[in-house]
Amino acid sequence: MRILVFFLTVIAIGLTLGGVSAHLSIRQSHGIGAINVGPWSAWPFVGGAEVDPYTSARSAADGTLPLGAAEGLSFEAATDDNGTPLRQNCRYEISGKTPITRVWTLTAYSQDGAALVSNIGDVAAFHSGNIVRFADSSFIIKIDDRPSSGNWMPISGDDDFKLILRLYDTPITSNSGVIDPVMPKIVPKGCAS
Amino acid sequence: MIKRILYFGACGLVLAGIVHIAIILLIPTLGKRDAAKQIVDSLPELQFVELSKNSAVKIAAADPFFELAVCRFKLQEAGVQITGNDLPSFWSAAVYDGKGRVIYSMNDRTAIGKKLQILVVNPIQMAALRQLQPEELETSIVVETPIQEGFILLRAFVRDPTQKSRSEAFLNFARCSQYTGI
Repeated sequence: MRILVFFLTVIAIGLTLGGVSAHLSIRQSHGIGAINVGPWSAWPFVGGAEVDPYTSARSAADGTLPLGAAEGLSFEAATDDNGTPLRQNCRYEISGKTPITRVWTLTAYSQDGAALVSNIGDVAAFHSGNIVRFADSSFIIKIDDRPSSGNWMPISGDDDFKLILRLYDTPITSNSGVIDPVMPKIVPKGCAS
Repeated sequence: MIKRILYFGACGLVLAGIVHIAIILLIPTLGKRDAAKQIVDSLPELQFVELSKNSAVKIAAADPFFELAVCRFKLQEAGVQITGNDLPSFWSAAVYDGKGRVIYSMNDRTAIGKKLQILVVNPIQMAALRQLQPEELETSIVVETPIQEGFILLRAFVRDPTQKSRSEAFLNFARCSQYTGI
């Protein structure tokens, strides 16, 4: 009897702690192997042959295929600048500049990795060639469920979401290492009740 | 009593460590969503398949501005030659091993003559290539890798819907074949 209690306790502790810690280590946005700039995280070594097991488990569990170093680098944000999770019923302003790159794309995804599509069938996404900019090449993208002027990304719903900013053919993945990239801010502008 | 609780806790922590490591290492092997595994399991060999027209492979968080095509290959018998045209806008190619790790990647600016010309060989085939010095050695990017199998993924940028057909034509024109020059 005593030995049974012993085994059950040990197994319960082991499975719970092991499972929870494994889940956290690959699900946390600022996880192992990431470089972080504000709310943005990138895994520059996810594509390489010397990828760490956490990063490769993460991309396998997500079902994504990493970009090669010569293709580009993708940054993911699941929170705003204050660290609050991004929610589809809230409004945001993404403002600033991206690091130097030939082409970039910004897309909103649901938690399971499907691109968010608005009621009228538009994909919630922008790229460097179809965005309206200021004279100094900075931009503001408004995430809102109601139409808005300028760069409007229509998002409506109740769930959390994430943003992925992909920089294609960018010098920041070159051998000199990833040097402090300047990333756009994600500022919350209130939520629909 | 306290001793026993500490003992239980210590054994539990050791087991937790084992479970943690096992989960992390097993996700790529047992996971169902793994994109590389779907490609290796369900796509035909030596043939570019456009992913938007194939429902067997689902890549999560795919970029909506890109059209993708994949060719799966094995290197045991012969190398693989990938050829294609140029696209006026951005395109890139990456060679992955069977587990989805990038072996080699390039984009249109790093391509020779802006054309898609890649030769993937294993070290033995590379030695033969060096001896024979075929013409492809000059015109292609040669990727030497010890992997047994893998796939190459082409990404073509679609700036706006009117350019979609051009990007699709680029992917359609790409060829993936056994290299018979050695």
